Amino acid sequence: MRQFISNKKLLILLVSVIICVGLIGFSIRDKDETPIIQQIGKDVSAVTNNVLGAPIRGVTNFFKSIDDIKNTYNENEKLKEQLDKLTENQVKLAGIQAENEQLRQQLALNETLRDYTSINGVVISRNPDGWVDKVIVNRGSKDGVAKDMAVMANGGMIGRITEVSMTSSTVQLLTSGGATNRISVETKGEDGQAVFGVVHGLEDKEENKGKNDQLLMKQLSTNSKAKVGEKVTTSGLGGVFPKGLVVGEITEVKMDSFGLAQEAYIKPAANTNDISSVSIIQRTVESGE
Amino acid sequence: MKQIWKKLAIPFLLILFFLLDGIFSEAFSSTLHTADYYMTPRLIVILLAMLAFFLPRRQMMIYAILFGLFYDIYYTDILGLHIALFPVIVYINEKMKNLLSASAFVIGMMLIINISLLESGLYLFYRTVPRFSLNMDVSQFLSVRLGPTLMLNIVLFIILYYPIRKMIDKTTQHTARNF
Repeated sequence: MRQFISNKKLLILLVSVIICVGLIGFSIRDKDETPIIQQIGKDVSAVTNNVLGAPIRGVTNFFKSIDDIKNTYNENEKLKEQLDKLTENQVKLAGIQAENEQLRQQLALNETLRDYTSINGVVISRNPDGWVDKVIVNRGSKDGVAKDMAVMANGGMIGRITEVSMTSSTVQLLTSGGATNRISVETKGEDGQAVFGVVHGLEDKEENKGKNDQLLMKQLSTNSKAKVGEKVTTSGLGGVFPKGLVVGEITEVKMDSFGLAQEAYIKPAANTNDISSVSIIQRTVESGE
Repeated sequence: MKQIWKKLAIPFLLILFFLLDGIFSEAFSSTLHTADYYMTPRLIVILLAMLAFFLPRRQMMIYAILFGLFYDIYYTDILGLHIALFPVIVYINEKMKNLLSASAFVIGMMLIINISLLESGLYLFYRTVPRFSLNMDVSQFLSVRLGPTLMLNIVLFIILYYPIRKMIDKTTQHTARNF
């Protein structure tokens, strides 16, 4: 009788299974830095991607700008309305800023959680199978990008940096689930008090159906009730992100499944399906780690 | 000069398709990813599945492992996922080439099996590892992920079959039975 699988084949199969499982275990754990081999691979891919992607990006940008021209008239009307309010706000803001500066000097507060510097980059690629939603940006450690920095696009926070190589970095989007993907946020409650919470990506549960593009804010502090329509911003308490980056707007408030704390659905301020350029945010205040 | 081009044509095309997967999902992300479906372009799999019918096994295995590794490094950041799945796909197709003729129809059918295998493997992985906290059930996976992805890739395959086939015929002296 012939053996179904020869011994040599079985051995190769076993060894490769062990190697693969080992690799998965090695790369799935929390790590502070991307392994050097992975960094080199990322750099090689990113450089080629930049070269090949440039003409394609040019073509898509051309079509996008045609799309933009179609909406110009409506947008112009809206912008004119906003412009009237803007000058008024600017005067107010200048006053408040000056006052704030003075008060801070009196308190000898030089840096606050709100201060940050930003690095601008372009999205060059995206993880094709979005099991973990990731985009790749053409800025890396040589531009000063580090792990866990916040990333903004389209006027809102979209995610944080998870992997950095020399010329590229990977951004994990807020919309992708995962146990490690959460940020500390705050919003204003019904009586004007601050309400703190933690934002998670939405899980694919029955109760969340039809809300795929939204985020879930959990573990809300109970001293005040959250309000629908209120803006949600980062709280700066997580130790990595600055305070005051816009995350989104509350669309629905409900009690969690145990009836103990509130939960709120958040509509992200930035559309994560149309990101072309991003700014990577570096907090000026050092976290006390 | 022509000899060098013949040698480099296939690796170059593999690199191009590997990067185009990511570039396309970035450029057309609002079309590909909606609330009802999530399509994944799998150009690299289409090419690997086709090449497996014409190139020798050893060479194909090296390509599959190499591009699986790069896929993991560049896109998924979890080594050991595509590096295991791509060679499996190539191995299946390579076994099939002795039994079946390498016509467009047969390769298309094999591609459906290959992509279903790949997507299901990935789904099982992300489902089992608690770190990703994925709660998608099987019916949802079939309707949101697998169905639309298969559809997109079959369309891409129909468009790309003829030019790729032409290129393979020109650059290699393959031994497959073809008509």
